[in-house]
Amino acid sequence: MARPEELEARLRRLEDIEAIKRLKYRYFRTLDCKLWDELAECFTPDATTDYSEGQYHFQGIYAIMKFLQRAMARYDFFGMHQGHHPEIELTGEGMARGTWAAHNYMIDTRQDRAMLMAAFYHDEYVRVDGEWKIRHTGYQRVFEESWDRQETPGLELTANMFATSAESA
Amino acid sequence: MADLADIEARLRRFEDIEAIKQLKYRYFRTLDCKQWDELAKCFTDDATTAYSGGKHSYQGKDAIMKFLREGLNPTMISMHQCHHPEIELTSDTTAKGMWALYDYLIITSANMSLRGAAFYRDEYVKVNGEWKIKHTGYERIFEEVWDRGESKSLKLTESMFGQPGQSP
Repeated sequence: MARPEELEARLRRLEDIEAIKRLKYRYFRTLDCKLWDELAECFTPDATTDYSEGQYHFQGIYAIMKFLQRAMARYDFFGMHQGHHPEIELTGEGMARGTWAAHNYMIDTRQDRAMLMAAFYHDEYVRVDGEWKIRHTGYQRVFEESWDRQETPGLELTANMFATSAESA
Repeated sequence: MADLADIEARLRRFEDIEAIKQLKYRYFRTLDCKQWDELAKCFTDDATTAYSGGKHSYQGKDAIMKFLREGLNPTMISMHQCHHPEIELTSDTTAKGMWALYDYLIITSANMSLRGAAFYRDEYVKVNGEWKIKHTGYERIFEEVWDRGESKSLKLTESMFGQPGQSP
């Protein structure tokens, strides 16, 4: 029969893993919805990134947010970033790392191009004041392809979260 | 010092969140398989929807089911997959949830395809020990449609609902 202390420790590990998953989901949701202030809260102040095999290496939340906003703030560039297959490992008290499979599909209506990407994320997380944050994130692409949307003449964009924002911008 | 009552309460939260995830997965499975009687069981009788940013708002299970049955008639082959559950228990018997959707549909009657992504915002309630959808709705990030006839070599090689003009 397991002792309560041991049960509690095992339960806490599950709670930590669940909290880290939610952190990652919040990161993707606020990125795709362009909610920059909420997105910034996902990172530690000293966070680092290695997006696209380190091509986009940034240090510190300010540099990261500047990059993400420059890359993603345009209302005519939007789409989805989805993360699947979480492999989360708790490496010490308040420390964890995780890998994720990414599926990204982006539309650029200014250039009339679309982009499809599959990648694996390698992240590091820390718990600060009871809350998990991203200390490091980066991904390696399995593939990335892009194409001219005009080559599909009947293609029509029928919904766009940022259409109104783009008009008023 | 860990006490068993605390452990039990925290475990129950896990079980509730897992049950809500399974409810949502059952909703999409029965939707895509067009198992309408099973799908109806996912909702409370007084459930409401705000699909497509509220464009498709319905009140009550019967109105919702009529909309879904007609909208996803046998000429619509659909894949609705949801990811990124952010489930929050708001009491012992109520919860809120957010999900990221990726969907791909083949509209055989019009020979069109549709691809989209959206975020769901749901409310759940536990009735007689079973979680149900009390409210569901989504906002699209994007949705696009295209004419499948423009891809000359494109061929539908399998469908759960038969080919157009054939009985399933």
